[in-house]
Amino acid sequence: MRDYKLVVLGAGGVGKSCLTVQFVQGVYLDTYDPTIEDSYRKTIEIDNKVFDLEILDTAGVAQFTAMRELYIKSGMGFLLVYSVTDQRSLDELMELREQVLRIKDSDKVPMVLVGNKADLTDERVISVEDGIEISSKWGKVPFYETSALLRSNVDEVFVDVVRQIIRNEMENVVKSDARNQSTKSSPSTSVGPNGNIASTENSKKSSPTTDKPRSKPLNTSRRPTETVKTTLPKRSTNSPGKSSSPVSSKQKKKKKRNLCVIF
Amino acid sequence: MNTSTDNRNDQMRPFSLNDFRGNIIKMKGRFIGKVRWCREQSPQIWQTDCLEITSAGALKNVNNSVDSVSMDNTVMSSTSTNDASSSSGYIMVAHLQQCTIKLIRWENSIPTCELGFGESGTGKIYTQLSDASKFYEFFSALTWWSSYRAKGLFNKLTLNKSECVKQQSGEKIANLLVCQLNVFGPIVRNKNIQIIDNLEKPDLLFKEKNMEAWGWFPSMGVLKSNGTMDFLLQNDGTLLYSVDITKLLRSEIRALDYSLLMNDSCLFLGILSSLRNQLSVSTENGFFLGYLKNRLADEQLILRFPLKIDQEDWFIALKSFAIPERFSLIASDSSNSLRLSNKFDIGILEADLEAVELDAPNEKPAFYSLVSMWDHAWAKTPIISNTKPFWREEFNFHESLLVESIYIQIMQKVRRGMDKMVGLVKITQAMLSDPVFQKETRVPLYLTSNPSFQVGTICIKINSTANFVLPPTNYAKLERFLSIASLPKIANDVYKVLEVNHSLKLEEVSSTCLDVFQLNERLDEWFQTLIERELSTINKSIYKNSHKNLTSSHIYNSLFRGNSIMTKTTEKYFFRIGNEYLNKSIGAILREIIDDGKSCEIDPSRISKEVLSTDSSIIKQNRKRLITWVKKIWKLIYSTSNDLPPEIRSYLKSFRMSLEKVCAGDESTILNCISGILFLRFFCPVILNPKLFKFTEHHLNDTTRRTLTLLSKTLMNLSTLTLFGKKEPWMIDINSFIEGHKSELLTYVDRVTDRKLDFSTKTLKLQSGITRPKLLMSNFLSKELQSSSYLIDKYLKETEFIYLLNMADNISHKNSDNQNCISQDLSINDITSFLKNASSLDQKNAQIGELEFEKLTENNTEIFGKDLLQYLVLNDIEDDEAGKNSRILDPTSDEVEYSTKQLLQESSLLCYKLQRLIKVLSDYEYPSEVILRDEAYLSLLAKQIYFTKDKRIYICRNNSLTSPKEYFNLFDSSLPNQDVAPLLFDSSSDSGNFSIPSSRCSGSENVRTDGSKNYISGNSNPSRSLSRLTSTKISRFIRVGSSNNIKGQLKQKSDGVRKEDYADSRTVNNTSRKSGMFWFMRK
Ligand SMILES: Nc1nc2c(ncn2[C@@H]2O[C@H](COP(=O)(O)OP(=O)(O)O)[C@@H](O)[C@H]2O)c(=O)[nH]1
Ligand SMILES: [Mg+2]
Repeated sequence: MRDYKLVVLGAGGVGKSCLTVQFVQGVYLDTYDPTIEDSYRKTIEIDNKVFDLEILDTAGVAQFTAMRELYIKSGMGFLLVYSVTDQRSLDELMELREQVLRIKDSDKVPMVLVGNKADLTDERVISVEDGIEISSKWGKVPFYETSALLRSNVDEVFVDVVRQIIRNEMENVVKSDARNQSTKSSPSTSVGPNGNIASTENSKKSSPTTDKPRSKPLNTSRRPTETVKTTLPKRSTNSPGKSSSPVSSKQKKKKKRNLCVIF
Repeated sequence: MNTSTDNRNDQMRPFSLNDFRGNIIKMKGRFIGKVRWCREQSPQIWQTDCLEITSAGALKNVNNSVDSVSMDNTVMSSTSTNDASSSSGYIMVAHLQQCTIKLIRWENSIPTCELGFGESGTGKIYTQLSDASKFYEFFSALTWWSSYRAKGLFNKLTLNKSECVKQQSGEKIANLLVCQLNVFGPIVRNKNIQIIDNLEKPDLLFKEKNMEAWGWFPSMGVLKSNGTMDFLLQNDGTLLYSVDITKLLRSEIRALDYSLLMNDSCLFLGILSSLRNQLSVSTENGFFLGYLKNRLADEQLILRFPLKIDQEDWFIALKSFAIPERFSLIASDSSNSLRLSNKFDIGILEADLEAVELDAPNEKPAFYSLVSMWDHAWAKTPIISNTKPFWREEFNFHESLLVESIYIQIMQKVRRGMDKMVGLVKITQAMLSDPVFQKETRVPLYLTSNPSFQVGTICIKINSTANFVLPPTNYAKLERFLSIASLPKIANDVYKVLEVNHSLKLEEVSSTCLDVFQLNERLDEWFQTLIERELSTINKSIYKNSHKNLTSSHIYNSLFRGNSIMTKTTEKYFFRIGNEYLNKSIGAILREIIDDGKSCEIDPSRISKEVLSTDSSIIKQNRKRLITWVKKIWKLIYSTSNDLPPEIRSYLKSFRMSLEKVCAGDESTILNCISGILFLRFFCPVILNPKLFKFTEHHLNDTTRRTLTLLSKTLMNLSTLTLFGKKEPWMIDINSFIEGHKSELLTYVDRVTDRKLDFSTKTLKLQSGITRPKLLMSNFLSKELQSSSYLIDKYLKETEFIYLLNMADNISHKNSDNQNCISQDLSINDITSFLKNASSLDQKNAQIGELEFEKLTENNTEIFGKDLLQYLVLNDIEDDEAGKNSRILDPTSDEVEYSTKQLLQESSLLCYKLQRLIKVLSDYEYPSEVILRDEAYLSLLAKQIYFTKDKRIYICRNNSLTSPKEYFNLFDSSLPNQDVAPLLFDSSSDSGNFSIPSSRCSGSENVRTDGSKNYISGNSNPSRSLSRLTSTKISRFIRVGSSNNIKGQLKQKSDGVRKEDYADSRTVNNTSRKSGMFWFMRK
């Protein structure tokens, strides 16, 4: 069993805690409860492998950011959360992501971009397209819109990060393998949680083993291009961006569900 | 002297002051006549041509043999434009400004003149004149132009004595400030000095390690109105020694970083020789007076004041008397100078030193790093025993000059003897403003002994802002309007700018506004405006939701939890005001908790299974400890409610009143919001990380960090009366504490918001209660220095504010008209845009006479004339009746509206003035008409002309600093024939035969080798000019694609590309390229 440390980062009040608690405990908390630093554990199963997650939920207030470097150093995967109702919260992520990359000293750090509070259609100021744009600027970091309230895409964001960590580890194993080819042979590869590489590659593309149909991130992420073409045009006709015209939101939701995009 | 072989005796009369003045006045700095000349490259080829020095300072060959006498008339009549006098001929030297002059013996007593010119000072022309009076004309014109400065803003550094000193002359000397303090300085023998042994010696600050006769001792410091400071023996008042503060540069008075001596109220005073070398300023004369004068190797002192506020007062007072570093042109009005604000924070996150070779491999190595500048360490990280030390330190610098190089030295702690330097990073001024370093960056570390060997990396982060600031008079009108202008309108503008311009940092904008409004005494109103503004947006959403029958709980539950101007400003303000309160109320208990170091862990999953199984009561014990601590902390907070600074209390009071208007009756939301400010942003951050607030020296270990985390969590939940359990079930047992202190909390909140009268007694002795001895001082202090409380640089902040308003103005009048974008690309705090503008300087723009462009006036509209006024959107520029009265107490709405408009207009005028000054200062310097006629000025200039034994001519414009011994006044007032200059060579003396070909390299080479010898660190190449900053280096400043480049190179860490990348930048900051206006010498 593998221990993975995830860190949830983002401005104060964007719903980091709600999202985390929804994922870990399946409840939605609606209280005025600023986080200082909370940690959770959860065991999940992905592709028949069991993972032990340690999730660190952090504070959004700047004065606590002195701790951020430490969180980042210890974290393996990151959820960068903003609220679709708050432009500033997205702006703040820019710096945050940069910091993660710098401190991790790598440009392939497992992370997802999360636009939370997507249920608040009336208060939305950041469109899906805005999010997609940022994610592609970031080199196709997987992007999801979530609602902690409706529990939509909640599991998906966490699972996506975990998968990225797994993938990263596999690649590292392959690399070090390639280097040590002559000296060390394959047994060490099996350390990787998912068996061999081929099986992970397969599992990515086919046969979701989770009970729900797997939703894909809103952008293309590092996967094949299937979603962009289907999602984008319809988006632009469906959601007129920021001018939240009171089109019946339920109808909207259904349409989008068909597109494997939660709302 | 004039035993000449020549017959025409009258021509061989010596060069007199009258000749000099007369020539300049007659010719207006010009010259025309036959000259025999050659270039350095072709020394054999002498030719005779008619040469002209034009009124724009160019040397021209007007070979069509004009009769010089007949030209004289034309010369006099045509001074209006640069090149009207002669259209023919070719330019030999485009700009004689700051040229070098060296006289070389020739066949007769009239010397050959070696003229050095060009950006690098490498161009050379040799000239010979057969006629002495013609030679004097030529020499006068050359000296005249040599006294003007070449291109480049930083070339225009002007070091005059502070106004505060002049103002005092003639008056009776008074004692301005008196304070008992501890001094680290030379110990005077045969006086009864008690040496203090238990204070840490500031070894790091001194180059000299040989400091036997130095130490800490108590003394009485007295600052006098003539700028000297006396140190008296405390018991009998005898004088130990005095120092002359007016001999120091402002940069040589420095507040010491806490990390050096673990004290935040120390000042450093002293000659920084490598700084002076960088500026090519003499280090010869120190600032010690009396019998210690010129007897110390290091003229440096450290003063340790009893209180932080003493240190702040003294810092300002001492700096007032020191020499300000300003950038200005000759004879321009004092309101037209600029000063540089060069602010940077250097963050040192961590290092990887695994490749460091250890002398004793068994020992665990310990490392720290130093930040040093000008051969002194100014900050220090704690010592960490790990080959991958994690420091996370940030050090702040605020300089008024460019910084040639800052070094981060990685030191290995050695048990016995001197600590060893294992690696070094050099940071240049160009790197400071490089966006690459604004984020955590891993920089290769090289061995000091072997610069090609990489020993590891260090992760640093630099935050830098540079600005130019005008002298205070310029801001008078702005401040008047600011005192009346409508804050909601300004808030609108500020929010708008932040929305549109994503490169602006919320933090910086907030702090600019905070400082400006705090210093202009409108801070309460500003907060009120921000609170109401943010509440009204929220209110609208709530209203909308309720209209649609939607819940707004998510709004209530995230009120004031994000980062906004209001929350950022509040955070900053609370900490500024409340820092001392925090330290005195809960500082001690936090240190106690850290010292105790026992675990308070109550999460079973964080305790190892073995421990849990062997000691089943461990959680219970830990919880008990935790509760004990949190009770103590809470008691301290609760019982000092009346000590909470009145500013914070009054803020909270009006915050609560505003909240009640919006969420009337919703007591829990009101409580949440107040706690969201007071606890989330004030108490909890300090409890969580006392190190960040300098309450402790070292980072916390894992156990204490965890303890403090648990404590702040508990306190946070108490403050919002939120019970634990839903998120982390193991915290449930803490709920009894929350329930038990519920009523106390409510009482506390009522007290600090003035809802209930607070009868609790004040228990802490806070400095804010102490009145400062300011009254006597204020007349003597320099207006432009930071306002003494909290050391805010007022005019810097107002400059930033001007840019902010101006950006808003540009956004709202999005005119595509190019002319209109006065400061479109001026982002706040951004030197790059300044320099960009300066570099796009149109040469033709700077005309002769432009220098007098502004007489001192507070009415900026007058200054700029019509060309600017057409840019202004505002048409109604009447005389400012409203502005004339100092402050209108109850302005009518018309007055408010008027002032608001005027404020915006004044901002754009000031922006324009700044940009224009930058532009003019970046160009070559030209004489103005006024100067050309001014005998007094010419006499002054004549006094600043020096020569050396080998007859190099130097013009020293910084007369506030005395000249070194090897330099002689050309017109020496101490000699009997004082107005006669020894220009001619005595033909009877035997000082060798200087024929041009043989001596052709001697002159300039001498200058240079002499120069570099005097550079202490030897790493600077004095041959380059700062002026290059505005030309070549600008390209680096302006980020045009270069950042990508650098980024790319940074990636290739191991192959040392980076070093080369910056290799040339280190020479940039050097002004000493030629002797034109500076000199430097060391004993
Ligand atoms: N409508 C809606 N509200 C949410 C959502 N997530 C969080 N919130 C609200 O935002 C508030 C703050 O969330 P919280 O998780 O504490 O923010 P954090 O500071 O990022 O941890 C919560 O109290 C909820 O009221 C969401 O998905 N939808
Ligand atoms: Mg939270």
